[in-house]
Amino acid sequence: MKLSLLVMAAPYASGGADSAWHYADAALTLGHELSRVFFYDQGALNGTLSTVPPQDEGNRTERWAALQQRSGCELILCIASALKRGMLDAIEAERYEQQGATIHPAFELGGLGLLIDASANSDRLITFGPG
Amino acid sequence: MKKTLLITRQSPYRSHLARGALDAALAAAVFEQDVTLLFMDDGVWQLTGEQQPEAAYTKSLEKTLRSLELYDLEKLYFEQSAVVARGLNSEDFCVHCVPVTDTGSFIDSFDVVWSF
Repeated sequence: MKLSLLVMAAPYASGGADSAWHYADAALTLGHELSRVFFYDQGALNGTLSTVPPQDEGNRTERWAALQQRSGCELILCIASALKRGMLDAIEAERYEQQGATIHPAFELGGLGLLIDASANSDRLITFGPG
Repeated sequence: MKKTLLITRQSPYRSHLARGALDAALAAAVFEQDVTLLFMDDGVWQLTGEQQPEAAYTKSLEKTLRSLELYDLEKLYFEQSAVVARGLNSEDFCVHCVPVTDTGSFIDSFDVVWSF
């Protein structure tokens, strides 16, 4: 089955983003196709570049990046959600005269059209809310 | 085309997700999707009129709600029990919105559900 995810949970806030990752991991293990993960609202914070977790905890951003490598899925941060939270790629950093990119290179910025497309063209869109 | 139901259940200014839900609905309308909105739980507070968003340092949700019909987003529903539980009067709502009593079977009639 072709799956896409909508993630609206921030890392370290609730279990929502972790649940999304585990869902994606399990779906891939079962042989499903993961097409796109769309990070919306607070969920955009999952793509932040300079996270330094404690040494005895894994790095959640790198864990998403590894999932992207393994599955070839797109990790899209909603551009409006990301920009207002200080999350920029190199192009946006230059456009808004900021110091540099603040999102991890495994993630891309994109518009809501990519969420609409994921919903229309996947067999299932699974939502992970903020609570 | 898939029939999409967008459920919005957050109060208007406590988080940014009520705004996020409307933005997603507008985007879907621009891409000519068949979208219906259902206001549930605290989401029914979004429908109350005379909002004063300046205090919340943000844009007016009411203004966006009133503009939905310009995007042919006219299928608006609210959960009747949520309105009753909060002591609201649907006659005071800022947009025309239809009550739903059997929420489960209503949701079941759609192909895709987005929940905000």
